[in-house]
Amino acid sequence: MNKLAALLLALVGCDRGAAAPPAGPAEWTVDPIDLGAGAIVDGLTGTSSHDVWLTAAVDGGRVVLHFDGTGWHVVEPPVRGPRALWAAAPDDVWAVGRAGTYAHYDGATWTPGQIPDVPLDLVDVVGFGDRVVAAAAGPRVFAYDGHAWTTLEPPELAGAAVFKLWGSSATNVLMPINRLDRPITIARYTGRWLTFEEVGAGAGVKLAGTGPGDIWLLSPQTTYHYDGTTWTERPVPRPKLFSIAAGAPDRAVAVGEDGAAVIWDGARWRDSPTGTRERLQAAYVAPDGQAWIAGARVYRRTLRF
Amino acid sequence: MGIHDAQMQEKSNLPSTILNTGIDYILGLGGYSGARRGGAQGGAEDNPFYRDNADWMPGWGNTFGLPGLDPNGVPSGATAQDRATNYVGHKANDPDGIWDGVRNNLMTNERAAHAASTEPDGHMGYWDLYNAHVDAYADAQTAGNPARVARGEEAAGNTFIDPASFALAVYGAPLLEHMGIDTGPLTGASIDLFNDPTDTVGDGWAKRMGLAAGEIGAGGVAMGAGGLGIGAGIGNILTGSPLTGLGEIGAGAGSMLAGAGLMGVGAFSGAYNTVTAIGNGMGIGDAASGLVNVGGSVLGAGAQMASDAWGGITSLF
Repeated sequence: MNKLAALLLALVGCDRGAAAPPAGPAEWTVDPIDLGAGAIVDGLTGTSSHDVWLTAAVDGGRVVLHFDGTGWHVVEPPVRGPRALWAAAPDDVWAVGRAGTYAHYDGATWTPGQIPDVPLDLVDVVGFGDRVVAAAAGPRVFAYDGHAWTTLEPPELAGAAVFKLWGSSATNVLMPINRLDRPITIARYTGRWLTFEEVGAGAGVKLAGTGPGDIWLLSPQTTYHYDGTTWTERPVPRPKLFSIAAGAPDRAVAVGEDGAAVIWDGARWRDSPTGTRERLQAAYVAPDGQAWIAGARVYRRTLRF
Repeated sequence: MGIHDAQMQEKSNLPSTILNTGIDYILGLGGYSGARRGGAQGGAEDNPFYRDNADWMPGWGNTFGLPGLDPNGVPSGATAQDRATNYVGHKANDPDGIWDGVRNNLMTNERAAHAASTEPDGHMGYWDLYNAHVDAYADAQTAGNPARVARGEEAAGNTFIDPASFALAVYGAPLLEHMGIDTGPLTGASIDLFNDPTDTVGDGWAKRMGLAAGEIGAGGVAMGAGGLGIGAGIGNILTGSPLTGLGEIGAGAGSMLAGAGLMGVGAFSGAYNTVTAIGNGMGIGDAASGLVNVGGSVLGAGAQMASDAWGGITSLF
């Protein structure tokens, strides 16, 4: 923006300032990756610090990149408009995209597929082997049992929409269900049907975890942790969070507005200054503590306590 | 390759390029893009749903009993929706999935409406299509708003546009396609700018009141031009050129009629927009906030345009 435009924008009040970023020296370094102007990373997943996948929205489309431990590499989009990836293992990666398209990566080759008679854009996926669950931003989920796709559309989902999925196995796939003025509900896919459990106030925007007894649910103003039995609220020091990731029971990160990043050290959430004010909306933590967070740029640090 | 892909292929010619370059510039000021998602038809982001299912869209096949408007099914709900789904919603940030919800709800709703259609030709009716859109917006906002509210932000509440403006989009834009103009960016722009489902009820109302005012103003200009044409025609008849005069009177009357129609659409849109916004919870404060926000954005865009123009002029010297 040049000076004349900036001056006029300031005069008409269109360039409102954002809240101050967390104080202190930046604990994150910028990863050398150039996605181009206007790009926003909105998905990170992986299986280790040398197997990380990234999906980003760019002007007019979406891209996929893979980090192999040495650098980021652009991947030929495995589906139409790749929207989300799920990495269960280096040779077991699922991708979903527009118009009911999906693909499976076996470590060497992507095999594309199409959910029969489903024209909807798929927005998230969890898959283990030949068992898959996909969401389509609506009151239904699609499940593949290795032989056929089934649409699950129970009455409990009426008036709500499934956007985000997370799973520890093919028989334990969780998805947050939100309704105004009602507690967050977790729908849990058991391999055959959905069960439902209430968690707490807010809106569930992202799930993460390391196993069936270590699951995080992110609401914009707080987090809830599941220990295998009960959900317990774990307050965060920063509001307006968009994403969460966990690499170990004492290694998790959540990110959000104005460059906010908070890290879990096993006992509490604390600020982790990023040095940026951009909106961060994706995160991944590898089991060894290597962590990536991203918005328009990608940042990295090691979580060790 | 879908069965209607060739028929519904976007046009590529100089007038389209000139028109769409301007639209792309204006969209860029608002943080949008005028480009088709993922490149050309059939590209990496393509949604073929409205081409594949064009056969049961309102107007497809033999519009108003006028086969001369075929073979492109023009006007029909298929072309406008194909352009819309493949051009709208370019802002990269849609963390609450509201655009996703709208796109998917529309396909779901329209399939259901077609299955339930009682139209004699098996098509969806115009109101089936309109109501599918109204419900798609409302349901997507209902699903996405809990996260927005939990962040402390105002809920999305921009209701879907009025039936008259929608009819203009559904039938008018494809008619331009029939005349050889690529309307993709125009269709996408009109939705991005005036029917963004992530807008608050106040911001959406203010934007569309601006659109209604523009329609009324353009209609007034057309009526004025028509009046001048009629005057010139009478003058020509009086000075001995009756054929020229009659032609001018005819064109002038047509222009006045079109202008009156556009003014009528604008007036209806403004009233309908206000009633539905109030029905969706808009209060005085929301309306005032919308006017301030939208007015500021327009001023900001004007400032950027002036700055760009100034930069262009100075670069010449």
